[in-house]
Amino acid sequence: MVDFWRRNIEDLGREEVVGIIDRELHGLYTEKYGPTKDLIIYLAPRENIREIIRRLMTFSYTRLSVIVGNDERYFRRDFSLTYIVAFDKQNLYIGVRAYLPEHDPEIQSIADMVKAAWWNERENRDLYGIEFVGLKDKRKLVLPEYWPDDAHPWRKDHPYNKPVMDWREGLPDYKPVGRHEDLDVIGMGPYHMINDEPIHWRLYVKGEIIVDAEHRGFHNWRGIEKIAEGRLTYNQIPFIAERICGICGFTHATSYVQAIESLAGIDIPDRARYIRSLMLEIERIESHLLWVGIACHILGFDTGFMLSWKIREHIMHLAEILTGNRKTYGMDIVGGVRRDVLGDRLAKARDSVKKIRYEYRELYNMLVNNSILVKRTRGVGVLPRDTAISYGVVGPVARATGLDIDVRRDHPYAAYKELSFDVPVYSEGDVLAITLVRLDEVFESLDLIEQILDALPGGPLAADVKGIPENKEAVGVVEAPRGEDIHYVRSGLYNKIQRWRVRAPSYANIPPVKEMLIGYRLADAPIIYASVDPCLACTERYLVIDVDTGSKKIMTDDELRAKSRKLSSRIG
Amino acid sequence: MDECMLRTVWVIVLILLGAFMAPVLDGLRRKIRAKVQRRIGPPLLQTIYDLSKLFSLQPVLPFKNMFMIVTPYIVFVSMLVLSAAVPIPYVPGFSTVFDAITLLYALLFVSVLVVLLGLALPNPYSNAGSAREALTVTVFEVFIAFTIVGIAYKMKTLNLYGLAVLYGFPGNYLRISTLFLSASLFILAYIESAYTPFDMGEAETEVLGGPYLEFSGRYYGLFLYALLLKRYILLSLPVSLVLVSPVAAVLRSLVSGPLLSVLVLGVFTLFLLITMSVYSVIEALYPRYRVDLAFKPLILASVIPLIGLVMGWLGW
Repeated sequence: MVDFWRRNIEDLGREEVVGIIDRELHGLYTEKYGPTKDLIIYLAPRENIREIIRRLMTFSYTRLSVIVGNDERYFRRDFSLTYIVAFDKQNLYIGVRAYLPEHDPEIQSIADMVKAAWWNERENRDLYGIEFVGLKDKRKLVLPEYWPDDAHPWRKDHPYNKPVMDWREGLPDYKPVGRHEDLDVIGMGPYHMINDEPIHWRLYVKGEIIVDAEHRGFHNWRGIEKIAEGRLTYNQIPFIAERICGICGFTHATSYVQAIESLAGIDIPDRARYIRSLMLEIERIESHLLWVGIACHILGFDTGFMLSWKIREHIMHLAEILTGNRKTYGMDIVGGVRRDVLGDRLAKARDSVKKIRYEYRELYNMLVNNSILVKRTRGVGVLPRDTAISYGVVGPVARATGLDIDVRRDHPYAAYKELSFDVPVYSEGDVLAITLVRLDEVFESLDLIEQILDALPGGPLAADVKGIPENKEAVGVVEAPRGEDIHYVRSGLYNKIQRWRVRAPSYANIPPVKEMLIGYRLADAPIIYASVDPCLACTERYLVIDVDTGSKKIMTDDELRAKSRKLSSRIG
Repeated sequence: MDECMLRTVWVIVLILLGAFMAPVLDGLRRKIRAKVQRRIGPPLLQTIYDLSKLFSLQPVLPFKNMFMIVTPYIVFVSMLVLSAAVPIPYVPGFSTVFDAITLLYALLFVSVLVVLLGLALPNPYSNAGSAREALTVTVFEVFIAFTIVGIAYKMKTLNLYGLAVLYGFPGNYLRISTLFLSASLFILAYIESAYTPFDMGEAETEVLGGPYLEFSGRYYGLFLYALLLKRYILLSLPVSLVLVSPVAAVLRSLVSGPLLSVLVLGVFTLFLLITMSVYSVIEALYPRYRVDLAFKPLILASVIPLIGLVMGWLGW
């Protein structure tokens, strides 16, 4: 097993740490190269991967961020797996890559050692057919149960329209891993009061105490990355990336464009950097206030819910003033931003921030001084620090367990290097601590918006980008409201993308909920689950399509029927 | 008009008043909560619209079970009848023949029926909600017992009508023990009505309505109406005894006969609305308790009627 964070490298610089890693991994890797300044890739034989990850995870402030699978058979008749490990205090991402031959795509599982690999391995097993030896939980993660075992949709030779499912066979059940015949089972979801998006929790309870829990999600998984890889050019993807999520869409768009800018070596203008930071902070406040409202509603405190969402309306209006849209701003392009923030709106924005701060201060005082609210959240859903490290949790959940990580400070992007802000950190790891982190962060974000409005530089909005280089790779990271949002991008031919992997923060934060639930009461389950602010749209990368509202038309019954028949005949 | 006829008229008037006031009080509660939450809120009669819609919907029952069909009617009719027994001074409905123990235990019987139904249903959420309800009722029993004994000892009667008239007499009213017993009555009405933070049994975001989860259409409508009637009856206890009774004692010296009853009924309605408004503000300020967290305040609250009882015994 791994002795997480045994070796303290917190105060060491990047070069020093890279030297230490080189020595540590000596003899275990075959080649090393740095595609971008903040990403170093080590190529290693597949049998050494487990040992390499084990050694890397002993350094402090490291976490397994994502495992990226890729079908590279057109280049070298292999599949690849890249284990991306974040070194948060050195602004560094280490990729450890193994090639797996086409005829034998097999590798040792690390999920028993590093829990963050659990979902990643299951996903790569589903999508590429890579076999993880020793992986105990071999149920499908993103694909439905009735999907054939020999069809892997992200292999490049898998046509997007190939019919793979035989409905006559019947639909197999989702089998629980544990056997708890003596316990009551309570299903929570896919449709449940607290679920804004579909997710199923199977809670095994004894009386009101939760003994075990299982999760099944990905009901809406659509393979958005494959759409982007095959059909869009690099500069169309920001718009589809923004539609991954209805809350932190700009985060995804920014993360993607930063990856492209990084691999193409594009420096973006200062004004674009500041505008990006401005919109990201607006999005953070909007998301946090939304969460506060939902958490209050779950705890039966509808006054908090209403007041929080009332303040949120001001921030939505602020976004509208600045971009023309409440959500889905459509601002990001590779090289900068599409639209400017007009000068006459800045004064309105300042007034708006003052108003929000005043009202939010009232709400904050009301929440933190509410004794029942504090009792309902203190000591509930405690996530131990070591478990948090193993699962690689990010964002407010990580900061509530004492992990001092924030991408804005640790891997600075946009204008954050020039801005001053504090990172709230608590050590209790319970729902109260997670709540306090979020509540404090709103104040920090309001400060950041004021700083940005005061220091917004002039100049152009976007760099001149002619195209992107072929076969380059990079990661783009953004601190989303829920934590680190990482996009891995590998460029292909003709300004297209060969591989795009989106790892939203909820992908790292939902798996440990299982551990957070055990031992607590059924009454605590909704708030524990909600405490990680699960965003399934991001996790499952499903597509939110904007309906064209240019012209309204009311369809008659006959028209609807005709449309339905046409669709049926096409499917048939 | 003979006495029997007069009482029949008052019973009908009280039933109609209860049937109307129960949803209106809920409408007021929703309106006041909305004001605290700085929103407009639904119209005052929204609960009546909701009920009429529920009664017009076809119910969908997941199980064929006679108990499921009959219980909503039993519960509703019981509550409707009990609403004619609310103790209003100089308004002789069923209160002249009911005593405090009968009323409170009739209310408890209905709660127990709902709990049993919830436990019988093969739905874990209903079971969990009913179990919570049962626990709360059990723990709160001590409080109810102390309050009833305290008031009965003080007023030397258990008859509801007698209590309503006697409570406001200066000799009874202006005592320290009455202060504690009056506070107990307000607390009893609040907690037994399952207003937030004591709405653990139904907790929509946790157990999806608990015992009522499997009911829809008119069956759910009947349950909802019965719940509102129960809240009305419970609210009428502190309002009538603590607020209306002393006013009625003053009015008695000015007018008499049916005019006195009508005036008292008007005062009763006014105080109902005022008390409901205060309850609604309190309700809007707190989140829901978890069952285990609610035990402590419920048990500690029992000290208040106990003090009232002891002081009454000492003649204070």
